[in-house]
Parts: sequence; C-alpha cells; structure tokens
Amino acid sequence: MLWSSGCSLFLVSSKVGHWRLPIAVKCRIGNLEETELALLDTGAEWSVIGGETAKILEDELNFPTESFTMSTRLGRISGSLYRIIIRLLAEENFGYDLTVESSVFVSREWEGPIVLGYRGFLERIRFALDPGVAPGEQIFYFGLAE
Amino acid sequence: MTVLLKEAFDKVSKLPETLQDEIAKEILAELETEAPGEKISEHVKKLVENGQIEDARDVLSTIQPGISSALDNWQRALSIPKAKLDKSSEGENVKDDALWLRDNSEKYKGKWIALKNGVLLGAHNSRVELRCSLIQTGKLSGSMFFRIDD
Repeated sequence: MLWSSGCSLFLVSSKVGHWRLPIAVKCRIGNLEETELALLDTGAEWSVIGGETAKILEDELNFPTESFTMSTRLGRISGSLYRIIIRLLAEENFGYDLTVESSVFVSREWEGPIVLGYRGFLERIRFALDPGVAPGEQIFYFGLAE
Repeated sequence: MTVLLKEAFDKVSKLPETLQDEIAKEILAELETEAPGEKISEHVKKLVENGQIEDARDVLSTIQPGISSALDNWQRALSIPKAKLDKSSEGENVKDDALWLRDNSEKYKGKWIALKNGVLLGAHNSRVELRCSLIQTGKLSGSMFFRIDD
C-alpha cells in the first residue's frame, strides 16, 4: 500500500490470559525491551495499560493528569493519562516500525489486556487490516497520517 | 480550597441580596488567584470524563503554559499524538508464537511465559519475576510475554 510504511501479521481471537482478543497486534511500550500483544480497538476512547505492565513501567511514568474515571467493558475504573511512547513493530523485510508519542490511560484497576485505542494513538496514524484468504495471512498495515 | 469556599459563602450570605452577585464575583476572582487554573482543570477533567476530548483541547488551546502543573499535564496528555518512522524493523514473527501457544498452553496454565520466534524462554507465576530472570540471562530483548489462562 502506498501510504503504508510497515506491516506485520495480526492475530485473530487470540487468548491472552483471561481475555480473548478479537484483533491483537505487536507493539513495544515505553523503553521496555519486550514485545507486547495488544488489543487493537477502534471503539476504545483511550489506550489503556494496567496490571503488571503498569507496575513495570512505573519509573517511566511522569506528569500524570488528575485522576479521572472511565467507563470500560469491565466497569468504571479510575486512572490518569500519561504521555508514553508506543512502537508498532514491522516484521523484518516488511517496512519500518512506527513510533507514536501517545497518551495512555494507566490504571492499577485495569485487569484487562493492553488496549490500543483511538484518542492519543490511532487518531494520528493510518492503518488497515487485511483479513487475507487463509488463516495466518492477516496483515496489519500502518503508516504516518501526515 | 474548601475552607476558602466556606469563607466566601459566609461572607456573601451576610450581605443584602442585591450586592451578593457583585461580591461573589470578586470572591471568585480572589479564589482564582489563590488556586490558579483549578477551576479550568476541573472543567477539563469533566469534559474528558464525558468523552468531549475536542472541547477539552479547545479549552486548553487558549491557556498559557505554566499557570499550574495540573493544567500543564492536561495540555501534555491531550496534545495530538506525534508519530515518526524508525528506519528499522524489530518485529519478530508472531505466527510461530501463536503455533507454540496452540500446542503447549495446557502445560503452563496460570503462568506468564516468554516466547521468541516460537521458542519458550521462560515461565513464572509473576511477570515481574520472569522479566528479571530474562534480564539476568540476557534474553529479554524481543521476547513476547503471554499470560496463560488457568
């Protein structure tokens, strides 16, 4: 695709812990070296990080907004917005990674998976999902919106 | 802030009604001096909670930075995300990891596991502990963590 700068496979209906993720994509959060499998959710207002990932990221979390509450599929949770780098990972020989200075809702109360939502993240990147014609051929394309 | 509000209320309630509006305005202005930006910050929080993000951004766009740390943090958090291309690609093939999970998850119920290219790097009840052990063995980079349902 002309606008796409990189792509990777995405997983469909993948089980991560207690949760089944309809669409899961690979990313890196902040300066963490490990790769995360995150729920891509265009219907989510914010990207969300909680649980042990939030604990590991603690040293990188600065300048929080005031705490506020947000409605989620698991009920209302409170937390704050932080500015965090999220990197979408392209597979080798399939373009380049895309780094996004994002706004993420971090909540110790969130027990669900990492969510990549619209505000503060998807709103400034182009992306497309190609379902492919056979299992294992699903491709997540991404690129700069500018 | 609560004490100040109570004082303001007491002052205003003792005055004739015709003067109350005028005095109330003056007291609010004093409160604003005592806690600059607090009301705006509270307003922005309400907008964000209601999902009115563009409205919150509009309000913040008229505010000079440095009035209060709370407002500065809202401005930072609600600013438009910035994306840039890296001239590298660090994604591993997730297909191999998915195959491993399909075939081996049963043995690791309730645990965190770390995989890379379909190879198990470690397993532990705690992600934090698993991460520490991978740092010690130099295997953390590029690994992918999964929590297996129990």
